Amino acid sequence: MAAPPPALRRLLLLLLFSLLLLASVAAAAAAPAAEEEEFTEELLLRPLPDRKALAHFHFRSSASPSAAAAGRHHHVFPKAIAQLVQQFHISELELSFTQGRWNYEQWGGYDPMSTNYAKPPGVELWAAFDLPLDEIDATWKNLTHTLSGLFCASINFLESSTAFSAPRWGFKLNEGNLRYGALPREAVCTENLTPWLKLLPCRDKAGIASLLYRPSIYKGYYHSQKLKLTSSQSFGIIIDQTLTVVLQPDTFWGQQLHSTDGQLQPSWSMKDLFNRKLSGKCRVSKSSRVFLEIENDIVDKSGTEASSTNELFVLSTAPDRVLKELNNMDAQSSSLYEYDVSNYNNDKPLDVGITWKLPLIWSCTPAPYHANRFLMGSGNERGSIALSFRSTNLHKQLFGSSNDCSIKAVVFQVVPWYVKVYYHSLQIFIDGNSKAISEVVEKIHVTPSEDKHLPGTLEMLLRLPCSMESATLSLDFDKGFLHIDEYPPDANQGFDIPSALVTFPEFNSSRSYPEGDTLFVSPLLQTFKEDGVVKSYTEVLLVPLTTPDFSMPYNVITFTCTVLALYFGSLLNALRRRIGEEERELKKAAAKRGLIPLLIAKLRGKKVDPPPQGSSPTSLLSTKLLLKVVFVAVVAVSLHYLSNS
Amino acid sequence: MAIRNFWSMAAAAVGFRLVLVLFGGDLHLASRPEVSTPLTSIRRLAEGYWLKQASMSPYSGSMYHGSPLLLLVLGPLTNKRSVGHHDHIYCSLIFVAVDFIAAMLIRATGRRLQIARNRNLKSLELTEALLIVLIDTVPAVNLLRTKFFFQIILLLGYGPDAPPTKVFRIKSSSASKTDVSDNDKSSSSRDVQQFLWKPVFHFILWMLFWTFYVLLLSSIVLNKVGGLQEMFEKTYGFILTVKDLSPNIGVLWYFFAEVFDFFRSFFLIVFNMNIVFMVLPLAIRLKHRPCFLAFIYTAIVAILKSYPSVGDSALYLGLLGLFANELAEMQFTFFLFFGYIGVSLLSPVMHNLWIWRGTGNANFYFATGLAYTCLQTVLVVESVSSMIKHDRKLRLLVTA
Repeated sequence: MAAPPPALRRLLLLLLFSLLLLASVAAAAAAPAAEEEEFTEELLLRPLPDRKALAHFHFRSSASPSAAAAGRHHHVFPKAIAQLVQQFHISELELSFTQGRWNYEQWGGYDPMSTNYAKPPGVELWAAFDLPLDEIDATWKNLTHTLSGLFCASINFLESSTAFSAPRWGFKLNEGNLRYGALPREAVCTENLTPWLKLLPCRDKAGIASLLYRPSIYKGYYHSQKLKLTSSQSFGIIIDQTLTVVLQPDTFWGQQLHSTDGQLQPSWSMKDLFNRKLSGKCRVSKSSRVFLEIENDIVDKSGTEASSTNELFVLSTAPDRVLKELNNMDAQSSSLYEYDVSNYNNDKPLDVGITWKLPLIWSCTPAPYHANRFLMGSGNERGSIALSFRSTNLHKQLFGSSNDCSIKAVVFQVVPWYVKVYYHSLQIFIDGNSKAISEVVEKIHVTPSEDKHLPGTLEMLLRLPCSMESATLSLDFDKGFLHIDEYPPDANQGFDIPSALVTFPEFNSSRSYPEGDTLFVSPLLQTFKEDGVVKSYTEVLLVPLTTPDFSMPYNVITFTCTVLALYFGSLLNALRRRIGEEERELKKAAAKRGLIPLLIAKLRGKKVDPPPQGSSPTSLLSTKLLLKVVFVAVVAVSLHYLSNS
Repeated sequence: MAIRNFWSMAAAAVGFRLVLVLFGGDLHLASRPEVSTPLTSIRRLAEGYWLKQASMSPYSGSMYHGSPLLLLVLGPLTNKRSVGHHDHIYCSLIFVAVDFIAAMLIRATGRRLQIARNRNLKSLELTEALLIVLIDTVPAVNLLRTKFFFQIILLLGYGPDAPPTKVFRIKSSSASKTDVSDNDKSSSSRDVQQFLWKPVFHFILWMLFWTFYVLLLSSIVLNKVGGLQEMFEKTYGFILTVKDLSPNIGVLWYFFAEVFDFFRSFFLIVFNMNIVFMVLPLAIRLKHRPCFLAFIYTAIVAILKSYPSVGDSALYLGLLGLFANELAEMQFTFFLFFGYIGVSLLSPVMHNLWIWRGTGNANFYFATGLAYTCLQTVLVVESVSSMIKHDRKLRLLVTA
């Protein structure tokens, strides 16, 4: 075979070269795109003092500013969220679905977990917008509808102006571009989890999310699924998807024991908690890690410096690394045992677990005050909301036992309009003694509720003395009466008042751990490090409102209108009666006859015996009478006809 | 004269009232639905005052719906005192004083009427003044804030309830009362009314002046925290559109809680027009009796107003005493008397069953409200017709 002519060979070479060039360009384009969008998955497990276990899933997807601005195509980052951010100019957004209530006394109130991931029951949504102030309300309404579609939840109920509020500093300091809304009654179930998982690149098919076995995670005592979105020009868009569950480890002797018995804590592993083992990471994730967090109290007691096997407990798998918390005041700190999931695969699945050797009692550090909220009073006319603080003496532990100090607490509370709070009735009792408002309340901002239009918002900065054991705030309210259409289907169940939020700005629960890898910062540990102002949510209150009779509208309308017609008709009749009477008097005087003969005469007698005056007026009168009768008959027939048709 | 026991009885009434004020704290009279409506509630006033102190508009939120001047007068008295055993004791004392003054005024009116009548018909012995005081102060005794609404009239020269034309009517008729009631009897003796335009003109002038003055004062009070626009919306707007559906002794609250939303505006128009509608027929028919006309208007307003309280009925029942002589032949008095007693006994019971015990139903309480409205209707209709009958008899007597 002859060699190809040189012209053809040159052409082929050129083709090959251009192909190579294209491929390298494509590779060059793909490589930065992969770096621009990152996905990390992490799981934190922690034994809790009341024989339960906490599991916290943390997934972060981020898109760099250029990738976020490009908009059209994304590799790992969920497109729905990118569009949401672009459409509504969101700078921050947090949406949480929670079932159950975080137990601040048992599970802690002074660690990053309770501060950031303990959420009020139901749905809570807040968003800060990067928009002019007059466009925010309209944008919020659109956003609620979009989220409602995105997460299969009735977030669109937050659209109505009675459902959301604009706190200025009680919730989060802002310039009026933040909106906050909560739906305490919203039920949370797998239908909300599925769209949430859809935002992950591997869904729940691979990686840490594959542990989310529905029957076990919905069996827990607390279940909070959260989406936090931050968007800025410099960082691009970051979504943190977290799922926090508190589970009862499924060990067979776990049920009948209590931690106070001096019995062993239940030993558990991932298999017990989730009915699954972890077999490898999600391929597109940049890092995939599992942490087991043990309180330092326990680690210190165990003697040996943070090893996986000691006198108190044994870890089922040896950790890749042990992280000990840095420079914390000894209030509460913990050690993290880190596992890198990329070292495990189907043949060698990861099953992190802990087995206790000795009975152990420990407690989590509580928040400076236990905040509780309850209702007072009986009947359906009025009542009071009381907010009580019980000191846990944490400040003595932290700042020494000086009694002259004071502790700041910020209360943020949204009350629906049908609970008509009298803000002037605010009373404060400290250790049972009534105090003047000005002594305790440093700053207060009230947006009073407007009927069917605006919820009431209370933001209050309190300064509580350190020596105090308990404080109670009470506010009186009147219960509103609603139109029958405004009652929900089960009206007698009552109405929910969303949780109040109590913040302690002087207390910071952030924790920092040493980073082994300086290039890569774990998002989970990063959130632990930043923004740790201690917060706690109070209970949701159930206010029973009185109900009208729902079957009565027609009866009420007819009765009321009857009474009104009675008034109108009889009064008008009383007013016009004189004329007829006088006429009758005149007639009587003229004819000297009784009433009935007169009437008969009036009806037909006139034609029969005409009066002596003359015939022409009588005939005129009779035609007039005839016309009148005909007119009345026509009116009656037409009315009858109209009412029938 | 029958007024010889007057002062002792008035003193007893005021004393009873004071006892209630000082020791009636546990009865919670101030928050009874019969006494306190969204317009007259003293707690709402306190809330409005608090909001104003916090440099917010007193009308922000849906709490306060009264006049801004009342805030100025009564607001400082609502401040809670940490040692005081009764929350609003100074306010209550003011109410007692105002009610007493109102009773005195009604008595004085009664005397003038009596004198006018006696000048013409010498023989009538009347015990009306005593009746007035009895009827007026005795219900007033039981109420803490009866005259709230009328205080507004007295203080401000306009009533928050009725459409302005209506108040104007009342006012004009009572203004021309002095002249015409002097000619009261002369009217019956065919000496047909010479309507004096001068006092009416003076009255209109004064009313305009007074209204502007009050509006000016209100805008000064509301300066920096809100405007007159908001005030009108939150007072007149609130009254005309029946926004608050909390139960009271009337019927409209339940009606508007139950009625279909798309009919709401229609019925609002119907009910409000009903007040206005009767003004002209009554004025034509009873123009020779301005005082009685005023009484009828007051009663109609009390029946049809959106947030009625017992204070409204106390006023017209007090005025009823002025016409004891003319209405002597009224029918159904027995029925009315026991009807009023029965309703006032049953209504709190039904309210308690529904709201506090949860065993009753809203319909029972509504039924008492319905019965009460019926009773008031019968009273108005019967008094009008018996007054007309009385006048006819007088005329016949004179002509005969």
